[in-house]
Amino acid sequence: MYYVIGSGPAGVSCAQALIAAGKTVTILDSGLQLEIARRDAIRTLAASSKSDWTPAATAFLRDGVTSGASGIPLKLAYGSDFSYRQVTGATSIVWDGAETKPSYACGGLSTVWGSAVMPHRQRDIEDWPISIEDLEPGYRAVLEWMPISVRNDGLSQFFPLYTDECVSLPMSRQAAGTLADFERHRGKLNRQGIYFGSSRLAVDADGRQAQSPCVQCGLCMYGCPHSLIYSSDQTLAVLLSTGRVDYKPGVTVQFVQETDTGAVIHAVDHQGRPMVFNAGRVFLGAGVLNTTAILLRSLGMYDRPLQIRDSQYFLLPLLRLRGTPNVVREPLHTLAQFFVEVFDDSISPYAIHLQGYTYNDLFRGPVLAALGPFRSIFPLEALLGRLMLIQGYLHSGHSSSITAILERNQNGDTLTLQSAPDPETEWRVRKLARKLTKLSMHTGVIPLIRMLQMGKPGRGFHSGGSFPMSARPGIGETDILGRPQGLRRVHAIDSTVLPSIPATTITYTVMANAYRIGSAAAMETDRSGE
Amino acid sequence: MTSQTSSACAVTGASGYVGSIITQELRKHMPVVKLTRNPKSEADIAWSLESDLDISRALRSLNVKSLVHAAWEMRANNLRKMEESSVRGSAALFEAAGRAGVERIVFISTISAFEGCRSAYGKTKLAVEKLLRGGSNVVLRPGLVFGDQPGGVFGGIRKQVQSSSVLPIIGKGLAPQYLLHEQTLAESIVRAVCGDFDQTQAVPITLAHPRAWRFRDLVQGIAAAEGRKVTLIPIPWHMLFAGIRVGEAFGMSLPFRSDSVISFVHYDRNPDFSVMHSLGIEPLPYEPA
Repeated sequence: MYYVIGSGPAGVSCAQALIAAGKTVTILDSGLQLEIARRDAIRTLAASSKSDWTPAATAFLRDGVTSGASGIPLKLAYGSDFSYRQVTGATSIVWDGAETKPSYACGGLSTVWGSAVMPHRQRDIEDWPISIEDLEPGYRAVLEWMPISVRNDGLSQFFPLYTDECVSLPMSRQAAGTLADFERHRGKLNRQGIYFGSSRLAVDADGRQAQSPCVQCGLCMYGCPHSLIYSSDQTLAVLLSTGRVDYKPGVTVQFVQETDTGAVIHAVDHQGRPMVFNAGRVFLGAGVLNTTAILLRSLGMYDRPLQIRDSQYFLLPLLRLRGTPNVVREPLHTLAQFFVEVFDDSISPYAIHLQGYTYNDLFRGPVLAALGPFRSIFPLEALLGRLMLIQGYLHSGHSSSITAILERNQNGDTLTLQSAPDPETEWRVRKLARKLTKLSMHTGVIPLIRMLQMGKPGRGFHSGGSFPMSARPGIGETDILGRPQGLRRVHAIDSTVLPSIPATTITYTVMANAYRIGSAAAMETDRSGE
Repeated sequence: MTSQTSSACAVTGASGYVGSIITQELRKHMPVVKLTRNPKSEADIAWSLESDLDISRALRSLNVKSLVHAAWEMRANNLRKMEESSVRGSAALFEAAGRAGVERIVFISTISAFEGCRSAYGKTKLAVEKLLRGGSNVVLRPGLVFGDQPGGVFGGIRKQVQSSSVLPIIGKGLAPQYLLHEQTLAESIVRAVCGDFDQTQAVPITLAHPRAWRFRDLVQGIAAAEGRKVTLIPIPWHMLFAGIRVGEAFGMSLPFRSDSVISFVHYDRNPDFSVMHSLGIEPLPYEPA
């Protein structure tokens, strides 16, 4: 029996590969769900027309969501923090300068992500023991079940689409105007290593798998009332309908012991009662923090620090020279509108990934706070029609990282996450910002460098690499099928095994890699006749 | 631990903090020959990293079968000078030891030496490590050594907190420090000299407690142990580095080298403790009062 741990993007991708190879799969998952009352409220909204959505009817989506100069402190889903809630048996975590969080939700962190999806570029994964060619079948396979909003544009030459079907969300007027400005100076910008295009989002833009296409309600940052933003729990539902997948929620895996013929999974239920499962193979897709803790426990690696690599996250507000009127009343989606990729060896030999966000109502709070007593006289609408936000990422090779160490104490295990700063990270980001400033006459946007916000390690949730894949794995590493040294039937399939974290988003590649590992492991089993 | 041996062990850098711990412990187990600028007994040999003296005959005459090399030219503040003094001197020392029939060399490197390190100190220690690959040699990369009466960097911090309630720190003081208790160092050295680590074939052994202390927390911990309260003033590292470089360019004698700033900010973000664990070394933790 094949056991997959976790129902996040890695877990369902691996399960898809195993199903495709004719295997049956049991998914063990902590499986926290959105509260029933909120689910009912979403169904009610989805069943009614957008014009009937009163502020009172959508107010629940905004519960607990705040924004400030450093962004949204913690992105929630439909006004709920269920994506981050703890369960019995969860590893206790101490944060020391790091911010990333685990998820025990059905669907993991995909219940709350920004849905940006880009493949990697070979040059950014030269330190991996596998190549882009090895990932390509996975990239294609994932798009068979994950919807994508994408345009064939200037980014495709570096980042293939892996699909022939281009469906896209309508762009906001601010974004369309910005990209038009960029387009007018394409040659100059390309010579400066700046390439741009529409955002690529895991969104069911035309509502093919839902009841409705995008109605441009502007509520994306709170949770899509039509559930058009992909979450892996949607794939889980499809997997369950095949009859080849058994799903056991309420199970939190602690550690795995390999035997001569398989592996024994030790877990606890939500009452803390121990549970044991006998598996042929185990695929750990519990997210980097939980998979790391499970592996450290399974290997007896207490008190041994590991490095969790992180793709540096930063926020950089932009002011567009040309204003867009009435953005507050514009029907739009509020996910990333456009992507900019920067290839400039003087800043970094790796791609720098920028996601452009145009107006959403979360801009309003920090702007008003910044205006203070002048808010009543300031032309707020004019400012909001020019204000945009870049959410940027650096490659982990130029980012701060997190040192993780699992310690055993009287109350159980504690995973301490200590930030390990890179002294040059901020310098690189500031150099990028200065470069964008110099190009502002060509881009039509001015970076507000003084408002640059550097995230703490883990803030962008693009972290992994605690047990990196290696062609010749040593202690603390895994082989190219995610198996830690000494283990044959236990595979880590999530970002835990990525040797580095390129800037160009993480989830799509994690899914492709999990699919690759699942496919290869199934073939290996068939060959060995286990 | 392997049984005592009557053959002698030579030690360089014996007058320094780490060298003195090593010498003191080794003397409990075997005769120790100090290689020093200023020999004070017949059992010492005149030697320095800069000297061209061939000490192989002296080593042979004193039946030296093992060598612990802890000396380093700490006045040099750039790569070229360190290469000229410490790397060249170490290579000459190892050659002399080979001619003298020394069977095992234990090199005291540093946790600041790792592939990709930026500091001249780390780079030159790494270069010397590579001179020793294979055979029954041992490379130790100790962390920040501490004890009841610490010297070196740890002792320097303690003196600072004893004398001042306001201390500048590099950046925000977030750089991790891996600490090594004198006792763990002493025990490890004896095991290394006695051949317990020969199977490592000079693959570096990172020797420190794996629990990292942030520099600012370490300073506060040392201050608390001294019953003191200190206020830490963050200084941007670029500024500090530039200031020290200017001072060095004018030939000023400063308590902190610019290369140490580089070493401090460009630390090994993923130190490998696996060899230490495989040898059964369990370092004592640092526990401030």
